[in-house]
Amino acid sequence: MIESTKTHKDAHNSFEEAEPIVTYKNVHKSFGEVEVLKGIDLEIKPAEKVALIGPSGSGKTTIIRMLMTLERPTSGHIIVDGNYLWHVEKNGKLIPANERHLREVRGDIGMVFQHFNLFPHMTILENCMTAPIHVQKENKASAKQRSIEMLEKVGLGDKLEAYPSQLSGGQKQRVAMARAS
Amino acid sequence: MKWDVFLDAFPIVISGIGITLGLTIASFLFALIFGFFWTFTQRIPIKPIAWIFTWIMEFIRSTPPLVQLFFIYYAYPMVPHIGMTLDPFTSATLGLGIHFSTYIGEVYRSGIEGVEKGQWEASTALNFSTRQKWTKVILPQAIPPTIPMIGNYLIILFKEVPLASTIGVIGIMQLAQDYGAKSWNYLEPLTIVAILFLILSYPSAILINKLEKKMNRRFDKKEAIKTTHSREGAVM
Repeated sequence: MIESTKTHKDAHNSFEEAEPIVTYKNVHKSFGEVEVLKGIDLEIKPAEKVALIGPSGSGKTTIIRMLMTLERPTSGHIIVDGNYLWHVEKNGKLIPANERHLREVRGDIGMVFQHFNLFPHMTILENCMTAPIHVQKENKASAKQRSIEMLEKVGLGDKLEAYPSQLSGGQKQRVAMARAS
Repeated sequence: MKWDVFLDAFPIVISGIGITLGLTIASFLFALIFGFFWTFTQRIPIKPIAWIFTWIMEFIRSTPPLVQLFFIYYAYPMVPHIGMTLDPFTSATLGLGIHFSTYIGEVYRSGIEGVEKGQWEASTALNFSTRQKWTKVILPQAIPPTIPMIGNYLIILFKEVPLASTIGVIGIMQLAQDYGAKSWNYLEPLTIVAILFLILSYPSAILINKLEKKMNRRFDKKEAIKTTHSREGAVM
């Protein structure tokens, strides 16, 4: 067991040297009385793929939702690419970040939701290109081009004008992936 | 029913249709826009302020529109400092508009609450600004399901418009009453009014129904899916 872990690490030696892209430091999260996360420490290196496994209700989704800035940690710090996610430094002290800071840092994070949460009033293509056009202010033609390429990559090139309600669960999931990237 | 009276009264009564429809449209537009005001006051995070607006809304909804019309037309000019005289049409637009805006606001609220929480989260994850969340994601989903309810309020409002005759808005109702008072023939002019209301309300109801279907079709599942996996080769 130990040996196999070692081989695994050797094979991915580059992970060892790189600075972590995501770091959780003693992160706690409570919902009311219930403390779901009791001090999470986690380091994820660039290009590393991590699977979180655990029984339902153990807080897997909460860990991810905090990274997507949808859930504020009760205490502890999350660092993404060298920047505090939920905090800003002011006079040498860390204070809770406001929405403006969150908008800056969450730009590089994407998420596929459990229920996909596609926008039902938009076509698949619109689902993918709305954010690039209106948030990143990319020009419409190139956003469209990129979105089409993305959707073709996930095998939905023939469904560009379909609405989410016309897709199967798996197809929706692929749209959600294209949208998040 | 005397047909000669009917024919005599008809052009007179119908000459007021512009005012009646104009008042309906003006006060409805006012209600549609002002309805948003109530909806957003309900979302103010400082609870006591939201409660004050809830209370004002409840007050407006629980008092008769007739009283409100009289208040705006007769009492408002006497309010110190802010009072001013308004002409009958403006008073009626404000009165009916404000009264119905409280209903419309409630309809918007139900529509907004009907949008799944996940839609807010997805738009946060995609980094939309607050304004974009509302205009691109929430309202386009919240409003279409409320179209039939809003349409019903339009028809109810239309039928409340004759109230404005009490403060001197000369619509079809006032003209019919005047005709009756002068000639002592009430049956014919009032029948004309009833018919006019019927032929305007009923098609509106049908129109709203159609609009509802059209709005739904924009993103609903009922639309047939034209997939490439057709079953033409399947056993018949």
